[in-house]
Amino acid sequence: MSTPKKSKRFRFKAQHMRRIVQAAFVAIVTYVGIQHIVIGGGPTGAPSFDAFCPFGGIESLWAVLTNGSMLQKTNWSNLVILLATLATALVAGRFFCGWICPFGTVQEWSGRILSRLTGKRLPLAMPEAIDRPLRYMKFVVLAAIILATVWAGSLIFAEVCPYRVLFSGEVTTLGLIVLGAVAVGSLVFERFWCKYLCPLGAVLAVFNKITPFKVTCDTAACLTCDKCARTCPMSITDRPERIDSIECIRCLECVESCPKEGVLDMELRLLG
Amino acid sequence: MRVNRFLFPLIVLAVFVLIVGGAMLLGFWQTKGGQGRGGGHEGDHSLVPTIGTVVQLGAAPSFQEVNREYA
Repeated sequence: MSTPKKSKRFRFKAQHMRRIVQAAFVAIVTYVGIQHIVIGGGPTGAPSFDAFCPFGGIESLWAVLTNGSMLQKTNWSNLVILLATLATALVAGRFFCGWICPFGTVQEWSGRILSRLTGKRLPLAMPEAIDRPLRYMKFVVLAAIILATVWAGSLIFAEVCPYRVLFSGEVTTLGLIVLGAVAVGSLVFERFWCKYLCPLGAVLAVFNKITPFKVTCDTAACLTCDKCARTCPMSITDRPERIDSIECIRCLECVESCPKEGVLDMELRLLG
Repeated sequence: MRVNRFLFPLIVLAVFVLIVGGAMLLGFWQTKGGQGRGGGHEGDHSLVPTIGTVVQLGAAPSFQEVNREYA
């Protein structure tokens, strides 16, 4: 007589909650974009899609501080969302990237869908010799955009921002090219834009060093199976006692993939 | 101190939502009427939701717009 198979009980994990939260923000942003397309802009139309971007708040900061005005298409909403984003960064680093950012979500999901459809192990990991220096490219992108915006006095980056092109429906040729390149990059290398190019990610990355919430690793109990490194969407492979990598997006994939309970966990340390 | 992996994101999301929600209630949630250089082609009226209203992503007349005809 064969032994009956044990049925797998569904366990609600933090990852399920993360996908729900990510889906909610994708839905909100999609709604904003569609409203602007359907209703149109102007005094009686829908607000500009740009009014809901936290990076628009960063781009407008110079204008706000020097002459008290916002850049065209930006408004108080940008500064409010920026404040909310920075507040979450003070608490939990690049949490925005891992739980809220719709563009990060689209990259993550598209890579995993392609992987399932093809049966191949995608996305790939960039060779380390290229990956390490390329991670600093997002800081260069940030500096270039800020300088260009201050010089032009307008949202000069908006024309080529792939996030804007994808969700707002306001498409430019150059924007489509950038979006296409990022899309291909994200299908091959997970979270390609987040890792190498995102200027907002560059701003939030520095908070990873000071936030009180961090993923910790019990290095003595660690099995060194590297399952956490394989599941990490940001390809973080280092496992010190406190993971304060500027790339960590607090997705908790590593914590939930670890085969040994309690080795990886989220901890709060107010001092040190 | 270990943090529950469900509680941690809820705390952080609460921070985000409270700031955005608080701004909406206090009247700081303006999405239109930018006064940037070159003027806002979106219009020069601010949309400040009052306490108790849901965020209006569509059009709503400002005080000036409503009262202009009475000026």
